[in-house]
Amino acid sequence: MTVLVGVVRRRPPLVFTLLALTAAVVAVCVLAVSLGSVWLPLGHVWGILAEPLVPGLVDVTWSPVRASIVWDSRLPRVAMAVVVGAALALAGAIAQIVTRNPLADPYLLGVSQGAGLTVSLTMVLGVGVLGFVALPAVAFVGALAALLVVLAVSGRSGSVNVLVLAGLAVGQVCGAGLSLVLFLHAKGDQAKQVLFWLAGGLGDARWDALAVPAVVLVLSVLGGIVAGWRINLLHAEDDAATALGVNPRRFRLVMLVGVSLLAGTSVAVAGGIGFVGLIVPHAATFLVGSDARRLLPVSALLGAGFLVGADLLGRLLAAPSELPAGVITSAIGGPLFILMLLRTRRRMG
Amino acid sequence: MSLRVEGLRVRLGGRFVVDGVDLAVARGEVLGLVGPNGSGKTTLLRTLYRAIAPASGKVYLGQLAVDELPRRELARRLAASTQEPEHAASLTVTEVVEQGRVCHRGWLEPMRAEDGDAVEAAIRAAGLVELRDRDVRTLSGGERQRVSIARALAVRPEILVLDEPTNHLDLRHQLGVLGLLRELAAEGLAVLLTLHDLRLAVSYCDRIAVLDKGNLTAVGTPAEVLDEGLLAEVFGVRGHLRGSTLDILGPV
Repeated sequence: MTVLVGVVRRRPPLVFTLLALTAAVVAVCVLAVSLGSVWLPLGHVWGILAEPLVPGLVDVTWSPVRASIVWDSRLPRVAMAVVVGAALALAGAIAQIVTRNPLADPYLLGVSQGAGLTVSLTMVLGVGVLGFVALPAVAFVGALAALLVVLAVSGRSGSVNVLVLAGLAVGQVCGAGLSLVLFLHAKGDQAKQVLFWLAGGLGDARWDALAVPAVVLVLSVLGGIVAGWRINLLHAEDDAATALGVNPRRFRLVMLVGVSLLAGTSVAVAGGIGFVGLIVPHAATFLVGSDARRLLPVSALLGAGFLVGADLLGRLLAAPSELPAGVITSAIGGPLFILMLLRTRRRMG
Repeated sequence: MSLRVEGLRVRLGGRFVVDGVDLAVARGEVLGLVGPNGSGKTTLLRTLYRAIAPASGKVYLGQLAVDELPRRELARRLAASTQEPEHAASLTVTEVVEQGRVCHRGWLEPMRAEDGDAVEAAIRAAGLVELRDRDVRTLSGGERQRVSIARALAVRPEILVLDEPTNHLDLRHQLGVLGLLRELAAEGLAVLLTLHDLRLAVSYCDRIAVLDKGNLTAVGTPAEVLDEGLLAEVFGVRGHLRGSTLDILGPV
């Protein structure tokens, strides 16, 4: 099933596409640092960012509070949106290649919910001392376990319905488990905390929480670019991939561990942010096709820009309060997804 | 390097689909594997590139047992094109043909100039120059089949295994692909292909192997193999071979 059919055309060189997208992402990021409940002029934003790099060369015309807003609040938040958005989009793109299914996505596969369950268990049962390194690890275990159950249930029948239903079922079971944990063990504000985190917000973004997801992301992007050529073999049917020299089952499993790492660490720091992994790879495919060497880096850039933009929108729409980024991505992604399903249905008659 | 199959038995769904096959394909030879539907041709080929494991028996490349070779090495020596190539992703023809070069490089190695040359040559040989930037999903069945063949050619293997490479092709491209296989054999490749069209098999294959219900019933030159008895018994048709012309008169 193909949801968006790329137009037949010569594509611009990858370098141009990447440069243009990077410029766009940087522009959105600068906007996101500038705009908010307190408006910071762009000149100030650049100055505040440049000042620590070239001390003495920049005239400080702003208050320390404003510098603190940039460095301690907005910049970590934007950086978190970049990392999480890129990671989720990359996870979705890989999942779609590996399952050869355009509906695969960490959320629809139940992976994010699996991570959510183990993270909230950890939060509620008070193993919080484990800190920011342990949470992503715990999330990864939950994500991988959920994914393995989904794959075991659906097999590789190639049936979109079976896969999505298995993902939904596992996601529901994880959700029920989470409710049960909250019901039985949550004390004080814990339930509220967990539910707020699950809504998928970047409001609590901190530099120290960023390290693990950022490292996972960078390694995945580099790995994707270097091995992208080989990842393309997963686009072929199993027999052809075997004849071309890979063991498709083993290869898929390795890639799915990567999906769990990307999605798990994202969920650990940002909660449930849906539809990024589903929608963004489709846009990327539309732009550059399915070749993993192009698709993976472009998905990551688009995902970064999309989540920074969604988070900014959430802050602007409800200022001086804010809407969680996950609400915005779902509000945009849900209707788009429905549109894609309708197009597919029409094409299939 | 030659391809040799010894005592091969393959079990699928509780029965032996290939039941004791001995067969050898030499360098420089085109061997056509023929037989009615369900005779086990595809299963036999899939065993060669290790898509399925045999219940017993061995496949050898020269002196090397296929199941002891690393997959990548096997892929470099023996390339295959499958019967119904699926192309679900938005890849260009060139990107699909490039897949044939992956087995020549390690995990962290990029494509080299040599790989580009092999891809270029394969695209030319399969007559895909005009289509090289097209999205494979927009191609016709026959064009996709040629992409699949080009991907196998790009490997630059010693042995080429093709499962019904002509079944989607128009007549001109059927002759084009079979002529190409003859040229490759002349350069020293061993070519094994399955075919349904016995007339094409007679014209283009050095030898023909007839598979029936998982057993090889005859192997030899077309003149040695395709007599009236075999045509009637295995294929259920009346016909006879005169020189290099096979006349099929009708069903038995």
